[in-house]
Amino acid sequence: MEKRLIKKDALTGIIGKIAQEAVVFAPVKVEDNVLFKALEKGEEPFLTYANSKNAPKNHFFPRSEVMLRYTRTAKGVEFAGGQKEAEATVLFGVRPCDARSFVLLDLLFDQEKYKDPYYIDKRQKATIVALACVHPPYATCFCTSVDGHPLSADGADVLLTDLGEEFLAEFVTPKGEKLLKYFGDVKADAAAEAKKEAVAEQAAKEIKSHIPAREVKPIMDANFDSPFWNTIHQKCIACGTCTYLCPTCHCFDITDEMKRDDGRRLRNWDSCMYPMFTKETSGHNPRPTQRERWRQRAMHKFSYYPENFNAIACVGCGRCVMYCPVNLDIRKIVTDISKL
Amino acid sequence: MARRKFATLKSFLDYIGIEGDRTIFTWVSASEGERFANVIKGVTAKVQALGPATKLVKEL
Amino acid sequence: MENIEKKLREEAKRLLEEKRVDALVGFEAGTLPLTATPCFITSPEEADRLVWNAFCSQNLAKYVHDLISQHHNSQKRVKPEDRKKKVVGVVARGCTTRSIVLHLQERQYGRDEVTIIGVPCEGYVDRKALTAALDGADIREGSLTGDRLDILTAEGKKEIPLQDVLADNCRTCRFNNPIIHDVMIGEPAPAMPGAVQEYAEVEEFEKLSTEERWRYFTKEMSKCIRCYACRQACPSCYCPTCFVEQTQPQWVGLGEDATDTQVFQLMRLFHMVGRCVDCGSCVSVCPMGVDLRKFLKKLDKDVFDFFGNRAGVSLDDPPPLSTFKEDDKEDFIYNP
Repeated sequence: MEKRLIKKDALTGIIGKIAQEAVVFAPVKVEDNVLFKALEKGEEPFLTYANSKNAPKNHFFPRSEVMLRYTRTAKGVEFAGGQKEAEATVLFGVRPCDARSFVLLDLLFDQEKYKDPYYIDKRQKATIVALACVHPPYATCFCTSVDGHPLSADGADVLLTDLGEEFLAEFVTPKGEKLLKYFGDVKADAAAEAKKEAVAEQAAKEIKSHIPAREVKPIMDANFDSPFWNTIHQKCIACGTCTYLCPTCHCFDITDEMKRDDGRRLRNWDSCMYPMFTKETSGHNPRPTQRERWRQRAMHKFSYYPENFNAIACVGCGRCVMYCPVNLDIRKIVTDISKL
Repeated sequence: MARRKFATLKSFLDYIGIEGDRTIFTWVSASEGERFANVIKGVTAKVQALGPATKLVKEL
Repeated sequence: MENIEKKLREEAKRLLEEKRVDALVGFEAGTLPLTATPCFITSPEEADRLVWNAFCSQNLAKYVHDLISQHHNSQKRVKPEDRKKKVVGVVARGCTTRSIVLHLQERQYGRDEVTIIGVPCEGYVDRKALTAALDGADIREGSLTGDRLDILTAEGKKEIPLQDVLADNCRTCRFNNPIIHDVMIGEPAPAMPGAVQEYAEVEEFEKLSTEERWRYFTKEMSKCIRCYACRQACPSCYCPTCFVEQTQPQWVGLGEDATDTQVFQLMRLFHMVGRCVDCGSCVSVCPMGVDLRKFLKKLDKDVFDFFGNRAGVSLDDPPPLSTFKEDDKEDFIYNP
């Protein structure tokens, strides 16, 4: 693996250079929000961010995307492709938890049997430059409980670690190595690597929030009808904040829109928290109340995904914990379930 | 009650930035043919002066 | 505050013991520092979970409506003589009781189905304002002493005056004491000094040009991610099926189209004419910080200016859009 050291103040310049050749997505401060978005010309990323409010998954799996377009003509319906082919992009400053979310989403969107061309096209053309959490930014971070680590390179093509005076850049994948040219030629020495190891150990220690995520699957499976589910959802207001900010939530709905003779088919985010999510044409709803919806969300992440893909569908970023309007804390739910 | 709803609707649309002349309300009785024609003439003139609506218009 | 909390727990315990309420909605401590979260208690022993402090932000009337309408639905197929009555208790500040008054005016449930534990209120903390005051730093620990917040963040200690981070709707609140109650805890709170300027922000905005106002509206709406937290948190948004979810016809697209989001917000906002009690719940739950209040407060102002009505302040008032007076405003009517 190639490793480089760069001066800290060189980073903005490097991003600027990359931005001349590829679309760069990075955290940007927009009013009071830090958002992960495409840098506009001359726009500089916000580098002292904790993490972005929206998850970088938006780039591969946007809130809404056109799948196809069609026109009604006298001869019948004519179809056209929906999406332009994706451009080469660099996602800069992805936190290790969010970078891991791409690995988890790949399991679903890029399976041997089922391949999602919309996701895969954008995913293949993107290079992920992750920025390690030398000091995990939030008290709600729990990545180490869900197979992550604040310095994990899972899902990243390049991992940057702040070593105090300089950044250590590790080029984890061949895709990442294509960015080598931007990072100068100071190779990292053994001292830098030792320093990184010390930083990694310290960073993991700073994570104070731990949940028994790996142990709950059998307990959840055995307690599908437990009265436990009767009360936890009570305060849930059934909004989609948790699912829309989650880096691993990936449920969608497909709708058609028409204006006169032109139509398009859209794929939009959907949320298991919404009553409409499972409502059938007949009017029947197999998940009639928030109880079933909450059980679904918890079990999808900690039981069904492990069953299907051998991975927990949570990266421990803490967004749903921080931004839930009613403080319905998934950490508490998982911890409480483990005690059943 | 309709009068109350329109009073607030017109004021609110104007407040968010939809030109006031696009929200027009009046009473016309079925027997007031001439008045109806005048209203329509007036409304069309106002809207024509504003040009095509671009706000809240969805393009696919 | 501790005194109020103590009395609140005693009252809640008593109401549950005497079976005067079947369920009680209040607040308990949250899992994050300086937060409180809605809780539902059904037995007297649980009453000690209740808290009342400046972090109780939600309008609990939303849950009162939910619980009672769920109960009504469950009784629909029960023979009239076998129907059970359910009484929901609620810890309510001024705005919460205004929402309950509104529900009663709109015939959502009977006065005897809700027991109101009134609490005085001097405003709650706007979490987003607090985060902004800390420059985005993560709150590790925190406490409120008198009017001072002591906060420990990753970057160090910081003191913040409570007044600086109160929600905008609280600063200008006219009704910080319960409008109606069955039990009142503590003495009424003093009036909020900002109440006289409650429409100042709206008046400033009205002075802008049409295009400036449109730019602001579209900018704010572009932040919206359509999670519907605003609608879900709102006690006045209780339609069984929201127009956004209707499919025949479909009123508004579900995608990312800017006009769809604008139309969703515009229609939801306009459904609040004479029905917004300015509790700030929609603003406080919005994950993206959309300035909804700028628009809601205008509706409130117009209804007061035009019809002299304030939402949910009197059980005797009919809802302003279901009534009229002969001399109602008509200068907006076009007369060629």
